[in-house]
Amino acid sequence: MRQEDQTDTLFTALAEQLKTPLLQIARLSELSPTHDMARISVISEHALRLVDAYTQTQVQAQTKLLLEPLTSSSVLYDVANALQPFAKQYDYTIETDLRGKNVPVMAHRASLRLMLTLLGASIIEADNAAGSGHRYLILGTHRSAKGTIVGVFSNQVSLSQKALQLTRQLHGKAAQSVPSLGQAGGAGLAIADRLSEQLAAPLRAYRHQSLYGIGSLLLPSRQLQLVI
Amino acid sequence: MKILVVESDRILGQTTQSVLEAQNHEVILKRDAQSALDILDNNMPDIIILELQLGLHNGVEFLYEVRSYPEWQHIPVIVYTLNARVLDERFGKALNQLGVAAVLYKPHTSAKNLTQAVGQLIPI
Repeated sequence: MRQEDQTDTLFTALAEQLKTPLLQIARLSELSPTHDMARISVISEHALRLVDAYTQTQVQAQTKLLLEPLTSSSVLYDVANALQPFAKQYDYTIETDLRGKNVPVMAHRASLRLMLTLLGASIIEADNAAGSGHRYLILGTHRSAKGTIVGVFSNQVSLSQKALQLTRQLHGKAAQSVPSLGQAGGAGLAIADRLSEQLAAPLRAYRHQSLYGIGSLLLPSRQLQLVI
Repeated sequence: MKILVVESDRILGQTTQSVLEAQNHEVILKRDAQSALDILDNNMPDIIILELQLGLHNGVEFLYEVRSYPEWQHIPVIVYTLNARVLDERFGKALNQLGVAAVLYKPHTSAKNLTQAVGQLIPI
């Protein structure tokens, strides 16, 4: 077995193992009524999501994702709900912005939801590290000539195309693979990037109205378009 | 309602028990498939909450066993697991064929979500 494969196997086992204590912390703190424990619950849920996302990318690398027709707005609604408690820790407001006719797209719901959630959390962490004053994040979708763009946007340029490329170059080689993320290691962004590859919808920087952000281009579902 | 929780992890089993008891359910907690099957013989529950990753016999084997006896076939089973395979649509369909009422992936399921899923199985 190659060294790289062995490392991946080891990390997968480690991630699987870590899910249990993180889940224990999350559930125990969820049951406690105090404010501090509620915060611990949110923090451990986020750590659990990261670890779980890594194991999912490993599992999905061995299978072919079954894409299904879905509306991006329904996924963004789920992502907003998932991100809300994490965003609240940083005094952020999450908003959704749906532009144009909501055309069905082909995607894998669980992977797309996870990818956008990790992206959102990464942008919040990046903005927090940059000490920016703004406190909102837009989960947006709009149409383009080739399909539907779904992504996470803010009025900061912390996660630009350049930052994304740098992350891909430094991933696995540097402890801090995204300089704009401060002390966060950028694993969320790297995992989101891997999920986007598995969705055949690579991440890249997009503009949404006057906002900056990162997202994916999803192809329309021709089949569902006929009935909607 | 009498609920049998089959959970291999002691701490997660206890938190699930606390959550359900707070909703006035009677909970029987078992750590492995064999002792859970023994309970079914003597003390039939209204609902089973099942982790698939158990020691010795896994949860799927337990499900097959439960569904092979006519007197246990009607018991609603909620799969509540840390096994990410349940996110795969094909695996989810296979579980549905075994009469699973709901499939909940633990990292995506808060204590509140679990009690809601149990609540949906209570006859009005």
